[in-house]
Amino acid sequence: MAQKKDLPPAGRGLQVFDPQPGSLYSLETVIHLTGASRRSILIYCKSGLIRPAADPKEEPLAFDEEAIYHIRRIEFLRTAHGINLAGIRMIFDLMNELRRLQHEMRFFRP
Amino acid sequence: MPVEFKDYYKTLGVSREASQDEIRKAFRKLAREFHPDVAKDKKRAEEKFKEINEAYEVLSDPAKRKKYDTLGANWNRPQSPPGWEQGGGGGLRGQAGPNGQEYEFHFGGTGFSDFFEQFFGGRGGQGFDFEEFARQQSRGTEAGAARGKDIEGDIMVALNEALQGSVRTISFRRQNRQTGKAVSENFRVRIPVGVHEGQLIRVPGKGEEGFNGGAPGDLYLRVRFEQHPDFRVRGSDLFYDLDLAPWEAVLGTTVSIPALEGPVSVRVPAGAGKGQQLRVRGKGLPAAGGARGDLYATISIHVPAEVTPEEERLWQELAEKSAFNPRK
Repeated sequence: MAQKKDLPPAGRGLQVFDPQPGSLYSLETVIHLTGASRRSILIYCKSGLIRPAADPKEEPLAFDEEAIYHIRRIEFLRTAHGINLAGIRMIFDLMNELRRLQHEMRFFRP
Repeated sequence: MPVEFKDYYKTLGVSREASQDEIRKAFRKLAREFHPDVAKDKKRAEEKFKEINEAYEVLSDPAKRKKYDTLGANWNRPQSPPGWEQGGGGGLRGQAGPNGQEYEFHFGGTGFSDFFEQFFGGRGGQGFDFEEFARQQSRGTEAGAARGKDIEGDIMVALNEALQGSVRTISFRRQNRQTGKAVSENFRVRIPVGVHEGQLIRVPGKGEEGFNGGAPGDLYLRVRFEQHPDFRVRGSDLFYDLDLAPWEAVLGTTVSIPALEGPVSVRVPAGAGKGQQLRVRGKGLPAAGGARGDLYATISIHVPAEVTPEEERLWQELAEKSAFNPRK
C-alpha cells in the first residue's frame, strides 16, 4: 500500500507517495479501497473482468493495483453510464487493443 | 489559469512542411544536445529536453500532428475546429459543469505542459464526461456519501528513472466546486525502479473530492517513457538502430554503441545483414523479478551518397569481380 514515508532527500516537507507496484491487497482491503461491494467484486472476477493475483482455489483472494483500477472503472461505467458487464468487457478489450497498437505504432514509427 | 500556446515546430526548429524524416532528425539532434545525462546545465537542459520530447511526441504522430495543425491561431477559441472535441477529452483538465460552473485540473511536474494535456492528454477517450459525472453526483447525494471520481493523467518518465527510480514533485491545482477558489497542492511521488510503459501509478486520495463526506477518488499517473534519441523501448528491451557501411557489414567490425550506463562495444559478425539484431544481454530496462531486459542493436546498412572517383573505381572493380546477386 502506498503510504507516507520519510525519504532521505525529501527534506521539503512534502507528502511522499511511494507506490509498491508488486503489492497485493486482500478482498476486504479492496472493498475498502474501491467502495465496491463484495458481491460485485466476486461477480467481476467470475466474469473475467478482473483477475485475482493467485488461483483462488489454492490461496485466499488477493488483488493487485491494476485490479483496483479496473474495479473503480467498472463501477464508474456501470453507475454513471449504465453499461452492463458485456459492454464493459468490450470497452476494456478495445482499450487494451488500442493501447497495444498505439505502443506498437510508436515503436515502429521512423 | 490560461494555457500557453506551444509552437512545436519552433521548438524543433523545423518548418511546418517538414517531412517525418526531417522532424526525426531535428529531434535526435536536439535531444542529444539537451539530454539531461550529457548537458552541463542540467536544470535548464531538463526543461528544454521535456519541451523537445513533447513537441516530438505530437509532431511524430501523423494523427496528433494533423490535429495540432488544425488548431492554428484559433486554438483557444471556444468554437472547436472540426474533427476534434472541446477539451480534447483531456484527462487532466475539464470544464463545464451542470450549472455552468467550471472546474479545472492542472498538473505540474508530469513532464507535459498544460497545453499538451489539454489537447493531447488522456489518450484513448479516458477523459471525463462531466455531465454524466454530475448525474452520478446527484445520484450519489440521494444515496448518501459518494466517493470522488478518479483522475487519470500521463507522466513522462525518463529511461534512467525506470532504471534507478526517482521521486517526482507533482503540483496539482484545481478549482473547489463549492467555493470556486483555486486550491493548489504539492506532493511527491516515487517512481519505482522497473516501471514499464503504460503502468499506472496510484496516488491514493488525490482524485476528485468526495460528496457528502465520501472519500476522495485516486489519482492515476500513467507512465509514458520519454522519446529517447537513441533507443526505442519494447517491454523491458531497448532497441538501437545501428547504421553500418557496406564494408563494415561484409567484413565485420567492432563498434561502440550507446547504452544507458555508458557505451558498450559490440562485435558485428562478418556478413551481417540488414535487420539482423545483435543482442547485448542485460543492458535493457529492469524487468520483473529483478532481471534486466536486453539491448538490441538492429543493423541497417547505408551507402555513401557521394563517392570519390577513386571509390567509384573500387566499387566498379568489385562489381566486376563479385558473383553475388541478391535477386537470385
